[in-house]
Amino acid sequence: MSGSPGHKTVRRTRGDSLLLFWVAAADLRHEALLSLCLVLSIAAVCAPLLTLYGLKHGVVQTMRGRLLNDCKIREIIPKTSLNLPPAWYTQTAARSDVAFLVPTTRQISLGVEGSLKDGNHLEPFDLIPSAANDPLIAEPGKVSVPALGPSECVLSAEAARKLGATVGNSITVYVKRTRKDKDSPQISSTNLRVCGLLSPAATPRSVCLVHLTFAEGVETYRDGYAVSDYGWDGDRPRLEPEFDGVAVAGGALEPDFVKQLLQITGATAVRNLKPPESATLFASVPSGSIWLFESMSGGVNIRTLQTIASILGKAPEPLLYQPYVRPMRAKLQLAIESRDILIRAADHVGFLPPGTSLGVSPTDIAVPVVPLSVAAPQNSRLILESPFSQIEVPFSTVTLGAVREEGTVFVHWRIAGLLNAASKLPAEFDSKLGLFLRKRAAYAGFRLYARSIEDVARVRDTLEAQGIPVYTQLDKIADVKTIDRNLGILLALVGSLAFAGGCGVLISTLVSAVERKRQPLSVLMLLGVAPWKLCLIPLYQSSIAIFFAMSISFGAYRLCAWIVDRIFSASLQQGESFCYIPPEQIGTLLLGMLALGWLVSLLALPLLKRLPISANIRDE
Amino acid sequence: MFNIEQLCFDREKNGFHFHLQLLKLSISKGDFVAVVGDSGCGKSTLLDILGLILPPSSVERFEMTPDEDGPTLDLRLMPARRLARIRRQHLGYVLQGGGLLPFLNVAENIKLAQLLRGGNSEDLPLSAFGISAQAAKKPQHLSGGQRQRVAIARALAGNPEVVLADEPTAAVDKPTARHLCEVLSTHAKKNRTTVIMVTHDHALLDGIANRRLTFSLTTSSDGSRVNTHVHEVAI
Repeated sequence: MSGSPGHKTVRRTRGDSLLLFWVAAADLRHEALLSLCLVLSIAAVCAPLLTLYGLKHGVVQTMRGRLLNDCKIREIIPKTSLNLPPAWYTQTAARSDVAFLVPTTRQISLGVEGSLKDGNHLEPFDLIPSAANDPLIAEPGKVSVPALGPSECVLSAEAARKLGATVGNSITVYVKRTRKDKDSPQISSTNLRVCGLLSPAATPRSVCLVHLTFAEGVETYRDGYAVSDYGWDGDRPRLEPEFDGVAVAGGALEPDFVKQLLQITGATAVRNLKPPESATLFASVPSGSIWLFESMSGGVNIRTLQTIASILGKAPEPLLYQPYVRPMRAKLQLAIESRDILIRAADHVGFLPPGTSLGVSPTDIAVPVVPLSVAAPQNSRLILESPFSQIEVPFSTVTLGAVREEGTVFVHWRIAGLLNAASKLPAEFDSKLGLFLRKRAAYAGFRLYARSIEDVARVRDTLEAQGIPVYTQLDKIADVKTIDRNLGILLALVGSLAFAGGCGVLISTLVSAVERKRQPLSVLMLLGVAPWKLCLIPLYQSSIAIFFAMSISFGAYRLCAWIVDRIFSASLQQGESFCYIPPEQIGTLLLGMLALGWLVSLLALPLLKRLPISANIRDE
Repeated sequence: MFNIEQLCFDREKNGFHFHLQLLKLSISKGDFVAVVGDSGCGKSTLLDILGLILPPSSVERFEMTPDEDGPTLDLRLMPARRLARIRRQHLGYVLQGGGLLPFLNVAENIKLAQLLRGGNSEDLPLSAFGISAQAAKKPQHLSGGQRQRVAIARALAGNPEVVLADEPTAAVDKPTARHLCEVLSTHAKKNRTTVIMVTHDHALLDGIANRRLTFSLTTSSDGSRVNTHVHEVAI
């Protein structure tokens, strides 16, 4: 065998590729009419396919876009009135799949009447609590919306129409309540500034979005209480003292007595306290026996005490009693130092005789009963950490004296009962009024919007697992997903036919081209072009044809899209299109078609390899 | 240039058997070989075998030495890819109808052959073949004579070592045919290009060719088998 076939410079593959591209293009140009036919036959397959794809994409995207912009689809509504603590709202709002959450008050307390300020035409409407980033107020595309102030509101289009109000106006909201102890209904009002209007699409109802504080205030007022934020008078929601039992001092107790007291206090057993334990528990220990009725669940209140006092009053020998609380850990904040203390109940007079009045005290100031050993300055405070909040009570300096060795501070039994109650339910100490007041323990409902339509099902499942039945728009979401899927199937069906057609066009064109061009292809092989390189000619030609066919198809699709959007212009909003393909997908489709063309061109290789050169070069 | 011994080619088609035999042939560089014979004697078959587009059925020696100082190539059992490379580098063709690519014009046809052979377009020998005026024309617009001039120009473009011509003058009148052969001979002599030309016209290459191959045909009694034997005759 010999070595290298010759000494001449051999053209390398890249040069050949360019040369063959030139040959392929020249051939297409030479048979311009046939080439045009090829381009048109590919375009005839691709143009309807592109348009169909655009329609599917456009319709589904428009519907999806509307769903995404329409916050109502993401809203999750409780089916029943609830009793959820504030902590639940904090936890739930922090979830990544929850976009917005605000508590709502009882539905029945949300109906109010209002008029334009200084107007006398009253219109009923419902209040809806709002907060920062309220999706109802947010315009599509806007990320953050500030919260309404406590004296601001946003009206629905219907409410604004009825009231004749617009942005910048003030409206007067009237809240009516009926109380058992009053003959005629009481009405209070406040002015709210209208700082926005909802679009008519947001809700057809006559509603007014307000700060949660205002909605809570309305509910509080309806419950008969005063709302100082809005200057509405009424009762104060005073905290009731609660005790863990009662201690009885005197002689021996009759079994009947014991039975009655056990029943009233809810205690399971009675304990006879002996010194020194009795001296630890009480500030002053009377003579005789001391019996402790301690209820593990608490629940002894002023009325219980009154009942106990009346029973004790009927005893043959004199008996004394004292409300009992289990010691509570607290801090005593003096001028600069603070001390850990244990709070116990006591009274200035020691154990109480049954006839002692248990009436309501005008203020709830913590008074140390046993004198403290340290001077408590004017602004000393007693601080109790409850599971709900920190309670701070001014510590009176009326009587100064000693703290017991172990740090026990005896305070008036009423204050001890109030502190005990405050450790069990939400309460606050109103320093202006000097009163313990009940705080809101729960809300009756919520307004909740999931982050996206994909999150709705998960949030619903979580809520229902917590025992909160809810309404969702999942059926509508499912509808769009179904349309998306069905249109996808439709497109896949038509697409496969078109794809098969496209392949057919390309393959038949290729085979006929190889057949028609046997002579020039054989001449090229005679001139030394290897068959696999000759394959580049149909590959280049199909690429060129597909490029032009796709350009024509794209033009046809854009024209159809324009016509479709004009036909449906009435149903389309700004920026929407029923026939739309994202630019990056157009690139992908073009590449896909080119790849198909290349794949088909590879089929030419066996045909070219089998081409008998010697027979074909003599065909003219 | 070519060294061939014991070459056979068999073809069977529709019950008709064709057998070509060449015992020994040696062609030197610069030879102008006339392959003369009547229709069907196997002239084109022999040319296709020499042109590396038709493999012989059997051969004992089939060698080519494109360059006198270069290596000798054994053409037996060479893969199609290498044969294509040899055609491209060392062989030029003139076909009966020209064999021009219809979608390229005259200049482009010649340029393509030249570029494939690794030459450049500057040494286009258009004027030497009297076809300068036809440079921009497509083959379909040329006369038979013009087409053959272009085919000769294309075959010689890039200076191949061998030019194979298959009845290049079949479609033109006698004076034009003679002139075309002279053109081919003149240009071949310049570069000592070996020319192997097939013709049925026994007198066409008189005074041009320095060697002549001819065929002895024997046909079986039923006419189904033709044996042809290639041999050289002295000029």
